[in-house]
Amino acid sequence: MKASRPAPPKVAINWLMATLVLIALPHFLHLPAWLSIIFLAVMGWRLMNSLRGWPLPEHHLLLRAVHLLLAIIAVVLVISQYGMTIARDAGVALLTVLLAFKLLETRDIRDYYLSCFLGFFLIATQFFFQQSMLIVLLMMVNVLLLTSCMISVNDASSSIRQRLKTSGVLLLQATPMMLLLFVLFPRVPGPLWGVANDYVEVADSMPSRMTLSGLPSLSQGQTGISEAMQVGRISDQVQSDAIAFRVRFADNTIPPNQILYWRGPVLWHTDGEQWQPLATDTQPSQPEISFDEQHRIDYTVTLERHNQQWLFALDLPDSLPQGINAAMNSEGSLISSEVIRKRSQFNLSSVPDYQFNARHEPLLNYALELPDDQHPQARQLAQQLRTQYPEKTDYVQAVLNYFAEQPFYYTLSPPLLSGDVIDSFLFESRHGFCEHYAASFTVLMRAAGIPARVVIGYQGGDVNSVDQILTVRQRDAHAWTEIWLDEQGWIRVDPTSAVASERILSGIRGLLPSERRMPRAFADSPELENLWQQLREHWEAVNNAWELWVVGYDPTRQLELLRKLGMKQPDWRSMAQWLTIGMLLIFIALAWLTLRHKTQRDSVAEAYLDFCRRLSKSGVSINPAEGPMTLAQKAAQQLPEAAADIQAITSDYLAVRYQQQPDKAARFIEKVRHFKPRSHAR
Amino acid sequence: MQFILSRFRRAHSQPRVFILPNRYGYGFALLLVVMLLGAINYNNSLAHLLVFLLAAMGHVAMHHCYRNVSRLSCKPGKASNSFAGSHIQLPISVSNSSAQAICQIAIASMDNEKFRSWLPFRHFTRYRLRQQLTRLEPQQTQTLSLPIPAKQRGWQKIGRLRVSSVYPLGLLNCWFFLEIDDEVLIYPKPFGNKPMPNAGEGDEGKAMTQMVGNDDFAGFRRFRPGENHHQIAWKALARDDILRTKQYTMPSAQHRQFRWQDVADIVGTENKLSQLCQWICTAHQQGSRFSLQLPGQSIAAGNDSAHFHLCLRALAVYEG
Repeated sequence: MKASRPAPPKVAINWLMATLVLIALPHFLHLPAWLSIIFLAVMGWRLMNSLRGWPLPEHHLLLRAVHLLLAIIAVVLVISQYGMTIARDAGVALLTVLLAFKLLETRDIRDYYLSCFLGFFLIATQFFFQQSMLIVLLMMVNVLLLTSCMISVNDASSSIRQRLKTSGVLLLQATPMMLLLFVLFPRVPGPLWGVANDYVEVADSMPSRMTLSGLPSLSQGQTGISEAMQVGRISDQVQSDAIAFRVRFADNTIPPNQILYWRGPVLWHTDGEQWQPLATDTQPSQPEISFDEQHRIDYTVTLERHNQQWLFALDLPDSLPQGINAAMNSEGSLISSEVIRKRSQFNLSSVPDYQFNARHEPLLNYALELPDDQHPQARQLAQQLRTQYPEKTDYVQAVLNYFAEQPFYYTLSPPLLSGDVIDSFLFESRHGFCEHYAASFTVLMRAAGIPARVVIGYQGGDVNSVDQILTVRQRDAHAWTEIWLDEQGWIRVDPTSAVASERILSGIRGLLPSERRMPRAFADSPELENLWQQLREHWEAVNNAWELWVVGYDPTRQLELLRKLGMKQPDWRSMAQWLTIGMLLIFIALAWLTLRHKTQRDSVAEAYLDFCRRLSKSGVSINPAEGPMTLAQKAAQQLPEAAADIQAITSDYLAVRYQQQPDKAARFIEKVRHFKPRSHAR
Repeated sequence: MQFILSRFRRAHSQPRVFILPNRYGYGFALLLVVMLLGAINYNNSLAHLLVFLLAAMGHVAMHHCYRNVSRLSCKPGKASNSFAGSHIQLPISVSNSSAQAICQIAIASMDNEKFRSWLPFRHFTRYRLRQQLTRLEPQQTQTLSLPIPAKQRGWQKIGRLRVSSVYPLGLLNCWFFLEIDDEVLIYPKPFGNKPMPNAGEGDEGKAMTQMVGNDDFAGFRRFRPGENHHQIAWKALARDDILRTKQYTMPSAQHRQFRWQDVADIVGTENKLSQLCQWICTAHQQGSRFSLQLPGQSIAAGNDSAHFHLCLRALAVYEG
């Protein structure tokens, strides 16, 4: 039985090898180097077999042993690298190794197909790491090549071009069905059996955590650390362009930048350097908020996966989000009931004018805590200003003025601080960004007996003028202060705006070094700068659409789209109905496309029919049983004026058809076209 | 509408075309299911896209596979008679009526007609590949020759041919059956080591003095189909491109006589017939006149092709 299976032709194996290397290439970026080397080495062995006839493992007992040993070593190496758990990286590594060794021992058609199928699998694993448009383009190319490999094993006699053309036709004709299935195939919310750990923390592709003080080494894989804020211990705020979330406002009216405060966690406890939220057990029930409903803002947030429970809302939401299960805590922050492990979307409405716990705040004690024996200079400054300004509001203004008038600088790369970080910032370095200002301002408030807390989140965002989507990135992360005043409740005070009002008014973009905004070549002239800006916005609009509608196409998205398309009550039943109808239509279209007859035009026969028609118009009766010669004789008798023409045309026709003189065809057709028996008759 | 009607009409004139996944097709389907489960588990939209693309390609491949086979029309010709143990050459004219080339068609016939199995499609394994058509361009016709083993002396039915293809992806098998009711006469297998009997004395020989024979050259005559190729005047052909045969006159006494009693000492009817068959073949090759005598049947002497086949036919259908 086994002997009867034919061996794949060498050309097919070489093609498969080239294709698999191309498929594995993007994986080399994150696979360990030794694995890539093993993969290429094993492929090289097979290539040398094809080119130079090197022996394969099957040819020699010793080589078989080497092959087995290599495979065992590779698997042991994978296990030692990743441990025994089958996770994403280990799975991909194992698949790559397996594929290489499978191809090396490919003997017959069955092995060949198995290699092809593993190749398809390897293409799919690429989406664990990257989901850009480019990678989908690469997927198309890979599928095209792998398909042509499958064709080559069935039709070895065809040329490379023919094979690529056939697989291209297959790919092209498959596209409508693919799109139909993509849109209408009822999506099932996953996971079905749990997700490998390393898939959840895709730190390399989507660092969507709170990176306000994102010490990268600490934030890897440890939740909670990013809810804290550490002042002065990092010299560079993480300037990631990764997207935190996107917002689409109702009616596409985008509020001014200075009210775009995206509220995240609230920090109360401090040890002098680090700020932390309240322990969960100290949190009491619902806050008491009253809204000035006149300025209500409706919007939709698409939050990227950040592996925490925070939802970011415009300060302050007046209702709970729709589309996600969440609650508001006593600090006015929204917390999802589940960790955000995938891109999530929810609808919200917010009111910028509000009063938060104006009558009573149960947590005031926590808002006055300061670590003992720390910040002596700050305390001294607070005492001094407080005696000068007995009114609380005057005092707040005085502190803000202090920041504005003293030589404080807003910088994204402040010097490292040591010792008492608040004091050394306030009185020595005076260079810092939002964290420094928020922390020291809060300390100055508390030292003067005004309850204060730190809120972290995002501020601003980039508006794309093409699709009117506001994109908030990690670099828009921000920290500000809230103080509690009698009868007014918690009031947002942003000390950063006292130092760098442009940060708040126009966002962080303007503060970035220019080469981060655009290539140097474009920065020279305003026209080029403008052009660059437009290109960038268009590209980002396309990217937004891609992220939201293709990469982010999930059960909720699907329902939303189908509702937009006019389906009243989209559920899996109606989807299945439409899917069936669509598939049937595509089936019929494809059947027509492939099975229609090619009507090959025979211009000579058409011309002769034309000739007969012209004769019959001038009164010659055409008998289908008559041959051309008989017809010509009869016609010549009836139309003696046209006899010469009739004879010439008939003799040409006979020459073309029966004397193998196809070169006379053109002359014959030409003659028929000019043949006018009736004009002769007249 | 016209398309559907024409499909319907075709269904009556053309053999029914079947299409089913083969083992690799089922493997491919399994791969898609596993990939879809993975895509769902990881909520990976692009993995969904790949699964759907592959599924759609499988669907397109099905149409192409069906087109590839169903657009091939086969017209079997008349098979030549042949000797047991050799092959019947069945000419089959294939033409492509589609707009694309037809690729990789395999034509098989069944080895053993009595094969029965409860397993579906198990009998496909009994079909043996006879001929392969690599590529047939649109609107073209080509004649293939199918070598079918000639098993036993006597009438052999060609039976069912299976015309199939897995092109393009090899995931689906598409086929139709071609029922050929023609029967081909199989001559006995020529073998045996008995020397040829000597020339007979020829009782009716005197009347045939004027018959053309192969001893004395008597002149040329235009070649007529069926004449012995050994007598073609090749040199004359080189001169003026006209096929001629050399004519001889032959004394009547000089013809060979193959009789049943000459092979009486050979055991078994089939072996006897084989020996006679071999003699006849040798004599025909030499161009000599011969006659055949079987129990209850005797064929007068002759030396042309028709006579040769008449004698072989008598051997083939002999029922002793």
